[in-house]
Amino acid sequence: MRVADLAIHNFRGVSEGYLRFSKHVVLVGSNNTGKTTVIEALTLILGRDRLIRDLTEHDFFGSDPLPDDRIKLIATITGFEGNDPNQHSEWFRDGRAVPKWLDEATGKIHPLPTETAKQLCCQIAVQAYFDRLSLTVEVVRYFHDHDGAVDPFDEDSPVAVPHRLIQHFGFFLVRASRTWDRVLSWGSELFRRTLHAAAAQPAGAIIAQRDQLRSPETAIEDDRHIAPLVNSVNDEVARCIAGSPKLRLRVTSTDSRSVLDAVAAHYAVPNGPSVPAARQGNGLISLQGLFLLLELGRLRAKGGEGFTMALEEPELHLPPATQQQIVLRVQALSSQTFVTTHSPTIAAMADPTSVLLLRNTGGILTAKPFLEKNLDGQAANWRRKFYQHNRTEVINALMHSFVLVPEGRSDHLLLQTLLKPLMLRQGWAGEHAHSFGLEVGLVPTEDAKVVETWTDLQRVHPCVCCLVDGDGEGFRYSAELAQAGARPGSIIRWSDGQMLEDVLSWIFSADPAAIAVVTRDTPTLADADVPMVVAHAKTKKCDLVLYESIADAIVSNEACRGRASDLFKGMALACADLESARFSRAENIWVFQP
Amino acid sequence: MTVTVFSGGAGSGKTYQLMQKLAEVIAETPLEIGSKVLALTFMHGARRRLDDRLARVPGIERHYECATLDSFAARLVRRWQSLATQEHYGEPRESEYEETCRVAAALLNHRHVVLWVKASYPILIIDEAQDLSANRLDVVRHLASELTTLIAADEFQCLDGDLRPNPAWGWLQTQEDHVKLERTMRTNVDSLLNAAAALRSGLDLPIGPRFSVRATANAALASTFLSNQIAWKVREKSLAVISPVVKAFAEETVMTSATKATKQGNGPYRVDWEQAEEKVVEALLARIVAPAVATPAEALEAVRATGNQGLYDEFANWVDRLIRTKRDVAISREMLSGAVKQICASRVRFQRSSDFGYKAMSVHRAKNREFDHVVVLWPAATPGDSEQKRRLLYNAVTRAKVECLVLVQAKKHLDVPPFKQ
Repeated sequence: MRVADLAIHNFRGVSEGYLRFSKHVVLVGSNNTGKTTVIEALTLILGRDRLIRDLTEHDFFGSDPLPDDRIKLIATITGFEGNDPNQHSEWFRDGRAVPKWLDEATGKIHPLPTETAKQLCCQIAVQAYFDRLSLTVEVVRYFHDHDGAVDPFDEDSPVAVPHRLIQHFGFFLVRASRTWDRVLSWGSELFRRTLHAAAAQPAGAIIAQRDQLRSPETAIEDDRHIAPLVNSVNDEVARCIAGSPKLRLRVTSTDSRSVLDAVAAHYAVPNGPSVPAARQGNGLISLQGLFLLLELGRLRAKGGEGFTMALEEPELHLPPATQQQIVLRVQALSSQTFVTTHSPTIAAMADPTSVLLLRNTGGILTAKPFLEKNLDGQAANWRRKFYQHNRTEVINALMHSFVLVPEGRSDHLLLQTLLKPLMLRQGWAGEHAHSFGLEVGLVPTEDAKVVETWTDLQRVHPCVCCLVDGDGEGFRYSAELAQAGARPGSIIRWSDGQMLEDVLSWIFSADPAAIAVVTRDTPTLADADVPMVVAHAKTKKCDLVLYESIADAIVSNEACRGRASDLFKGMALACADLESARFSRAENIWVFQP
Repeated sequence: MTVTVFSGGAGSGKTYQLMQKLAEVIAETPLEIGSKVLALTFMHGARRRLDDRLARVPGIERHYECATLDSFAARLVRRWQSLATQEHYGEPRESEYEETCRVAAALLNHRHVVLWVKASYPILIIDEAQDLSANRLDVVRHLASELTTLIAADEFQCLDGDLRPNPAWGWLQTQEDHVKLERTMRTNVDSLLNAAAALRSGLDLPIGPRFSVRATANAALASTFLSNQIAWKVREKSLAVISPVVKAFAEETVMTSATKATKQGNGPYRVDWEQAEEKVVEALLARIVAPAVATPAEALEAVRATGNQGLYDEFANWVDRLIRTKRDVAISREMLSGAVKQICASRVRFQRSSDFGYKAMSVHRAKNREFDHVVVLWPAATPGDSEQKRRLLYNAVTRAKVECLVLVQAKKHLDVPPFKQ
């Protein structure tokens, strides 16, 4: 079984949202778009009670719910083998769900199967309201029959989803804030469930430990320091109560329950005593915790039960190589997975049609797959390079608030090379290149496919801008972009007749002496002046060594560095459609002002 | 997938046979975990009685659900609303019972909807099937196509003139497994058996030692007969005063017996009317005085003033939920009466009316029940054609196990049906 789609209403930062899911979903989006909201919504719908956190007013969109405001979440569950409701009467019968039929191409749900709607499904909903008298949030989970108005807190009493089915579905969640050191103990439900599923309760060992604790070789009360005290207490008591029992001091209450409670995971260290888990680095513990979870998944799969895994930020505590390994293992063992991540590496290794880019515009949450369908042999060369070879970089750029499409590879490389040392060198005030680095993601445009790249990316990202030269080509791109529907103000252009390299002249003109760093590093440019270096750079596109030395020259000179910062700050503002000293708007296009 | 029918006159043990057969069916194929027997009836009273009978069926162990057919249909329509909408079956309100049953029948025309019911309820029980309207019959027929269905019916006990010819009876007669029960088990009193047989066949009504008919021109006279009957015959046994029309004659007779003793010193005897649910609610609503649009406090005060603590408690719950879940709560007269009706309906669902002691009721309410003694009050204004009158009297007389006395207001009626051929 798997979740085919999810509708969110009035939950946390999402006033309305609708997402469709494939088998192994990777949720990507800038901060606060709602990745965690999606996971928490799934948890409310499918999680066992222990997994569900208490809701508060803040879980309602706008944080100030009135009595008739409702959180409403609806998920469609599909993947019932054979697609015959009679074979799944646990789920489909009077008193349980009403069968419905999902059209996988459109996502539409039909009350009867049709030519295209062949997937048997049911819908589970959760509604919640804030009770202003008791100051608590009341939640109900029920089978969602139809899209008509249903208020489960009013007269209508919808059919509750029985515990057994929730358990059968098997939704497991590893939150971003994890406390793995408690996972490997009997205090952890996960641990107990895994033991139960594996029938691996170490009863013999526990009873042996208990017996040892009951009659220890060296009893505490026999220690020569405490023994006199214990004996005198015993004597005093014996005087008052005839035949009174003797005092004994034992570790734990010496029943198996307290032995289980007292067990703490340790890690063996060579040539020394073992170290308790709480003192270990997070990496190892989280790995063991995860593998325990996977073991449970394996056991559930073997027993024909579902195992759906939601994993928030697998990049936490784990080295990159392990991250990938873990995600692949989780996917292999689960009926369905939901992974949220800030790591382009993780997003890039997933099937690009399963990577969902979340977008939240004023509370409206939408999600688009990174690619609608996988690239086939017919795909253009630039597309393959852009989406396959440079996928990590592209996904990284898409995780920013704004995406900037430069004219070509060399612009991308030069801007990136300039930005990196600037961000390292800048102080806390005055210099603003960092806002560009944090808010704007640069994509490595292939083959000068500015218009095509823009067209592709604006499908998945709300704010895609283009950066073009001040030449004939640049004007042509601008015209084509406008025609393709580019928002006014989303195009940035260098001054007439100029390209990015010409902007270097403007930066160096703050202090032409700064160019010395470049001429010293590059033998062919000995004694060259700024115009000569710029001309050289125009012929040496994508020369990383040259670009690095130019960047070095700029950051080591205060005046030049100031100008470069100013430039990036201006570009960041222009992306946000705001005026600055460096860019002013002329006919819907932000044009650089030296 | 099989239909078994039991038919026969009043007291011929149809319900008993139904339960016997059910026990057999369950013994043969035990109910799976989670599945139950579905028993559908018409009124809540009948539902409760059937509920009690089902509880005693061996092997069933609470794996049954007893519901009114209308509430079952309403649930089906509510849950399958999206199918009903797509197929344009209509969207009746829950109070439109006949319409709701029509839509439910249309939904059950889809085999997978029937299978959906069957997965929870493999066995269906219908008592008093002669009362099925065409739409309700469709619901049952569709269910019967997949569910093991056990039905009891007696065409002659149908009191609804609109159901003649009786649609259910037509269908039931085509069923192969149709058991006709000839012997009356309820009573072995010959005169009562003879009276019942005569009414069914439309013959002259024979009088006998434990079945008598008296002309009583007014309520005072009728009440004397009633009180004497109680004093001399009924005593500690159960009695039902049954009348086809609960108006002046019947009401005054019962009231007089309750207030005055007879010349012989019998009585007074208090006999309470079992009122129709709607009447109880109407009377209750008439006592609630609230502004056209009331604040929650005003509405609560108005209901509290009725002095009905049970109603007040549940009404307070309703208001409380309203305040918590709605903005700017104002309670209109319509909302208020809706809530009171709802509360009364759900209380009726759980109340048990016993068949012990002395009670007065309409023929309709008496259906499907039995009492030691029956006194029938037959007002001059009893409506219906000869056939209808025979059926009304039959339904009243056959409630008696020991003795029945019929008090007829209009003497001349003794010469026409149902008393004479």
